[in-house]
Amino acid sequence: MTHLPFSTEKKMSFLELDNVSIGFGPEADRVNVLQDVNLSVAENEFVAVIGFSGSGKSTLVSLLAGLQKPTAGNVRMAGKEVTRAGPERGVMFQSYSLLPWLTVFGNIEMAVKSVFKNFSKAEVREHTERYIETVHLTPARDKKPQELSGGMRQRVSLARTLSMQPEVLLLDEPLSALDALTRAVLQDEILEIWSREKRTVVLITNDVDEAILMADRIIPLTMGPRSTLAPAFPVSLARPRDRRTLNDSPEYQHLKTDITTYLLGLNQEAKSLRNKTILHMPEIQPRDFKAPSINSGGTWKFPKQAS
Amino acid sequence: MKYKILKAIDISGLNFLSPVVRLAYRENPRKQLREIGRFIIVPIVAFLVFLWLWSELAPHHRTKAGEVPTPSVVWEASKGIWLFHKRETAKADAYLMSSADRLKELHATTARLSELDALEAKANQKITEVKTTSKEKFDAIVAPSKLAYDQKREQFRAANTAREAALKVEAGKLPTLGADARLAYLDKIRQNEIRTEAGKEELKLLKAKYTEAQTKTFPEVKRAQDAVTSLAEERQFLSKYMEMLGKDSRESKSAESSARLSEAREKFLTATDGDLFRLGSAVVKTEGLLATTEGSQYAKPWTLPKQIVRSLICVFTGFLVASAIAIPIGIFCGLSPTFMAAMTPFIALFKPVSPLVWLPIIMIIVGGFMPEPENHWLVKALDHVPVLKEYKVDPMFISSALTVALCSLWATLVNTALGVASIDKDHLNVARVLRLGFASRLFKIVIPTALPLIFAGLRISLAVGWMVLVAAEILSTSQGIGKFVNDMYTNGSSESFAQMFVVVFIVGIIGMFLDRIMIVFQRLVSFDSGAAAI
Repeated sequence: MTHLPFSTEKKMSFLELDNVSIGFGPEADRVNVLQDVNLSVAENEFVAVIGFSGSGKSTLVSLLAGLQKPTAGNVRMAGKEVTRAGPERGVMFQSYSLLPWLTVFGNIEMAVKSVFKNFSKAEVREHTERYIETVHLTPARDKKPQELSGGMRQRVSLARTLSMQPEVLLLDEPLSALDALTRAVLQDEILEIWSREKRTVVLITNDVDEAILMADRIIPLTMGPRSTLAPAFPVSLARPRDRRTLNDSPEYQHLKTDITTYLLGLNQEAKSLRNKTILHMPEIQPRDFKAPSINSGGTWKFPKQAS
Repeated sequence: MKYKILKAIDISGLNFLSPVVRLAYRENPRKQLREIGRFIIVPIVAFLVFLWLWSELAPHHRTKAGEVPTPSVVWEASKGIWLFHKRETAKADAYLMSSADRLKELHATTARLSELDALEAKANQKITEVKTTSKEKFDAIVAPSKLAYDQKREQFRAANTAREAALKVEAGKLPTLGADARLAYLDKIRQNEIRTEAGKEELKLLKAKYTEAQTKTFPEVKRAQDAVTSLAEERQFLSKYMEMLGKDSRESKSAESSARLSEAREKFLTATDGDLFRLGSAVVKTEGLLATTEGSQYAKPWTLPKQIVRSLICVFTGFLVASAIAIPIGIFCGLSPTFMAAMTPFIALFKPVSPLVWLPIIMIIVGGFMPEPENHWLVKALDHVPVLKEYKVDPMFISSALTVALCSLWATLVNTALGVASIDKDHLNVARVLRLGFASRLFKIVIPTALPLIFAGLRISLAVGWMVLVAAEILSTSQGIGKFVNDMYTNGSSESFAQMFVVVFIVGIIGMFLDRIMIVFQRLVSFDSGAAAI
């Protein structure tokens, strides 16, 4: 395995999970969804967490956002403990969660008005329109979410999260519900926005390519229950990364193979399937290794057995 | 333009009209014709079949209030209701008319009365004609059955007397004979009884046939009689109308009163002898009379259109009270499962209670609040509201409205609770990330999510309320559609019977319109483009 152990250098950790466990049930019989999770994200770092379904990825995001409290350990941002959710940790949900009775403008405006309480009406409008423009949705400004495609809805969700100007961006499988082509477009957009307005980002995904393309560090999440974060895989590909030329890069290929192997190795099901393909052959020994020769007439002659 | 019309049709729920619009724009004619056939022609044909079945089956059933009315009779009855309403309104207007208009109306009325004379003469002539022709037919049918009956009766009487005479003769011989002979004689008496009974049965059947033939009504006779009756009614109305325009109008009555007032004042001012106190009080009383006369109105009886409006006001009052109670409680129930658990026994227990059970209880309770309705602050306050005061809010009205409220609030309550409880978890998470306060969260996220279900509940509540109201009005004798039905029922004439059928259709049509309006509101509020159920 070519991944480096977690943090060879001392990084200033901006967002951290310190021995966090979360589970349910009584003390004696607790089933931990996440167990002893340690995560340290530096400021303006782009971290991707990869894992299988059901390994507690959404729970991890809820913990980071402050929507859930851990049963052990604590979550800290900039040294202070995180007790509740807030606009400084903006979340982008997998299911967009746009309010269907508001237009695009209305959805983002609501976020802006709740976060920036002393903006004037004109400032709110200007701020909202700026972020609509950032995700290139100005023509759809007055449409309702039902009238938008999936990619457009996710862009609105992204604009809403960005308009809160959070310090940390938590993306909970934002692109899983989209088709591959829209996903590619949105990945590029997110990267472009991130390169302009540097921010700490934690991306949860199940796509290895997406993780390698976007992140500085890829951390696998082991299988549930009692999942924990495995040692990270740093990505040192130069930015800006071009998906078209990425395939030719040997580092990309190594990285992808390593991560994929590691992940599949975690998968118990895959392991048991592999076991099933092992067949036990019967114990037989050949009697004679000699090939037929011209002398023997070209045919096998079984030696006389002493039976 | 076409899509705007189609969208308006879709919102209002009148989807059967969209193929018509599309056909007008020549879009895929065959498909539109097929849809028009299915959604417009077929229902119309079904309704016509229903009307035909009704007119075939109705005359076969005879009741105390005459035959069950056919559709045409019901239609005539509805015209009668409208005519009565128009005439009463005309009288009320005539009472208030000023002299110039009155003169005009008087001229018109006198002209119409002379017309009526001619018409009545003709109608009477027609009646005699028709009666003579029908009498011949009548005799042709009735005479033979009467003859048969009379003959049979004679026969029966004769046979009876003969048998009895024979038995009496035998009885004369009996004292000399023994017990066996006497028992045999008893048998003979029994036989006689049996034969008498059988004879009586036969006579009864014949009599029934005879009376049925007698009561056979000839439609031409009935039509002629109806024509004469309607002309007579019009004459009566016109003469009353003329009186209303003449000496009974408010103007002339006020003139009369003011003449008397000036007379009394003269007498008071110039009296040299006599009781000045009496004269003075007479003047004051006459002044009072004049004031009342000037402000008076014709005492118009409650006609069905006015009763319909009162019913509608009552149902909307009840509906608003129900919504005001059910929506806040529903929101609390949805937000807090504990509160919902507390409310569940009440909802489960009181939801099935019939309005006819609530109504007497509420009437007693409201009566306790308003022992003297005329002096109660609410009635007095509402008497000053310009439109409402014509509709007389009284304790019966309030009882009916409260019954409507009590029966219809459960649907809204349950639907609101469900709507509030089933908010998307993610929306609530968004609220938490944005740190929205309780009020913000409630009004910006919870209520808008729950609105479609709230409106679904309101729609059911209004439908239930309308049904409850008509029932409650019958029982509470509060002026309205129910009271109209009750009056018609106690009246018992065949025209009242037909008018009850008219009320069925009126109640149905109004209920349909109310439902349509609620569908429009529901569609406007719902954001997931789900079609509302019919």
